[in-house]
Amino acid sequence: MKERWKRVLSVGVLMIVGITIGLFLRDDNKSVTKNLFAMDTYMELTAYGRNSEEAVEAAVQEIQRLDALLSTGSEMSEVTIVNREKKGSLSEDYAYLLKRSMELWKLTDGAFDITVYPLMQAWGFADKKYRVPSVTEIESLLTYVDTSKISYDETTNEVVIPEQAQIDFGGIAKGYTSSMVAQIMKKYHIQSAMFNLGGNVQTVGTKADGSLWRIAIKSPYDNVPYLGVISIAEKAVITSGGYERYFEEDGIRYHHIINPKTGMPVQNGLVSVTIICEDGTMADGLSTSLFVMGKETAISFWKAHSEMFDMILCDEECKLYVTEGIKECFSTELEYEIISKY
Amino acid sequence: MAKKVAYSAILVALAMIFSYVEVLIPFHFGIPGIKLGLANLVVVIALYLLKPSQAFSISVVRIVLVAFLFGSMPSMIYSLAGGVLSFTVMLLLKKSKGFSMMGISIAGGVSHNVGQLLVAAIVVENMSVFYYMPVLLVAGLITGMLIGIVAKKVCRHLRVAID
Amino acid sequence: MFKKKDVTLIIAVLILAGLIAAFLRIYSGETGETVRIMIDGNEYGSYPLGEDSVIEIGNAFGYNRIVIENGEVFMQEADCPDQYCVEHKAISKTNETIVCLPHKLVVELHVQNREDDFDSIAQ
Repeated sequence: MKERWKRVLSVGVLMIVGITIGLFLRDDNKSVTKNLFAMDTYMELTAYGRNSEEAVEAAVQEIQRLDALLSTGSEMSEVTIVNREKKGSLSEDYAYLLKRSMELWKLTDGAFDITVYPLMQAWGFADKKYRVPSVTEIESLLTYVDTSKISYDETTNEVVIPEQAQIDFGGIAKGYTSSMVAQIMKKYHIQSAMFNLGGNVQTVGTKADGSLWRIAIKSPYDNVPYLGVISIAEKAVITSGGYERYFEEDGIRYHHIINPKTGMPVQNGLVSVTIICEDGTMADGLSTSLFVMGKETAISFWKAHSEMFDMILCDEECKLYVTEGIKECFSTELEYEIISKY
Repeated sequence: MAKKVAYSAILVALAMIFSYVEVLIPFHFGIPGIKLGLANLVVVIALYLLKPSQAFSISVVRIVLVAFLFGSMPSMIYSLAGGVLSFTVMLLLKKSKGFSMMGISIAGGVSHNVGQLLVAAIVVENMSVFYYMPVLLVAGLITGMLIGIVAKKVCRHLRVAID
Repeated sequence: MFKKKDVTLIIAVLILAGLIAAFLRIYSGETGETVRIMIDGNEYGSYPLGEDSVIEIGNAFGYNRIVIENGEVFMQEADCPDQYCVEHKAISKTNETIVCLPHKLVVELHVQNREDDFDSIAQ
């Protein structure tokens, strides 16, 4: 009698253990999606697998932390404080963004410039009170636009900026945020995740079933649904275009990408620039600055730095220029030209 | 008689453990509250060892207890619907002869899921839950089979113990 | 282990599951696509893309009128300052969205049981 009960009991225990293990394994297929409004845009985060709940929760907190730090709209943010005090001892995030921005400024020969903010304000893109500034106003503001006038001491972590200068990381902040969120996913051992931070897409690993993520690239044209679809893993896809934010006055459309050299919205025949690379921060910075450069300069820039990134340019004739590194994974129905290094 | 009461109590306890495991880690069928019905194992065993009325009370008692302890209102309604439907189907099939314990267990697993789904469709007032029907049918088939295998083994030992 | 009737039962269940799956697959084209409206990250409601309708939303954030017509969704009217949502072209594909940022409102297309064209949109 006793022996039999033992046997029954052991069968029961074994079953419960087995079922529990089975159920835990099944948990790997779960996914968590979270939507939020932050950094003046709409964000969507999705993670797959165990820990996805905690990982997405941590990601949301990180986004809110960075938003509070980098927002130009808040009186309390570090960005606003430095712009007001003209000096400061920097946080780790601010210091990193400043270093990366200065590197990018050098790399892009001034096409990427975080000190363009006074012009953004003049055009009304900072507070949505749009207006067309006068030529003299633009010219006087342009004298404050110069990243080289920022003095940053890496040993003491102190920054000093000229009296009239203002810094805004808007051209790089969302990309940096997506990189940080990707790191959080790694910390939680997430194998598969994707976030769309206001159009900036960052992927972690592959899709849950092992296949590549398929990211469509928005078309600025009403009659074209998409520029194309790119299949990627573990990369950021970031597009910049004049169609994102703009206003019209006297029948002329003014968009939000201001050339730091002319102080005017960029008009060079490009309608959008998409950058594909592992580093979200760089992808974000490059998408804006290559848009500023224009087609020819952007292409020669890529030829000089082809190991760093790939890109898709779209011009006013709706023609695409696709770099050779992604020719296998990009599909489109539009006319396109492959850019090769040599 | 006392022995049978003791058996009933043990079976209810065992069923609760299974239900607890289910509550802890629910399967993701897309409808919150829908469960796999692992505790059906106990009901299948009870159906063979005890009187139908006793087996039925085990089934209902464990559902109510589990719902009060770790469940929610919708999950109790789903479980009751699934539990009652699968019990009725199993009892009818057992009486009709021709089915082995395996067949009865499978019928129980499948009808358990069908019962839950029908209630879910009424509760959420949305026919789209029927998208899950094929998955739940096959899931019920598989759990039913597993339960059938285990129930057969357990009963062989228990029957010797009970007589 | 199995009796004849057991096997019949298993086959019957499998056939039934297959038939329902096939049936759903055929008809899901008409019923599967839904227009989901989210406000401040929470779901406000879901509407079938196949049925023409007008959804008016007025709340603390503001007023929006969303129109579902001929398998497309667009923002017909909104009292937000930037009007980007009204200027946004009509959407008709899975995972496409119209966002009204000032009102924290998102209209997205969502398809059940169907292979998506893509997972996200870079813009």
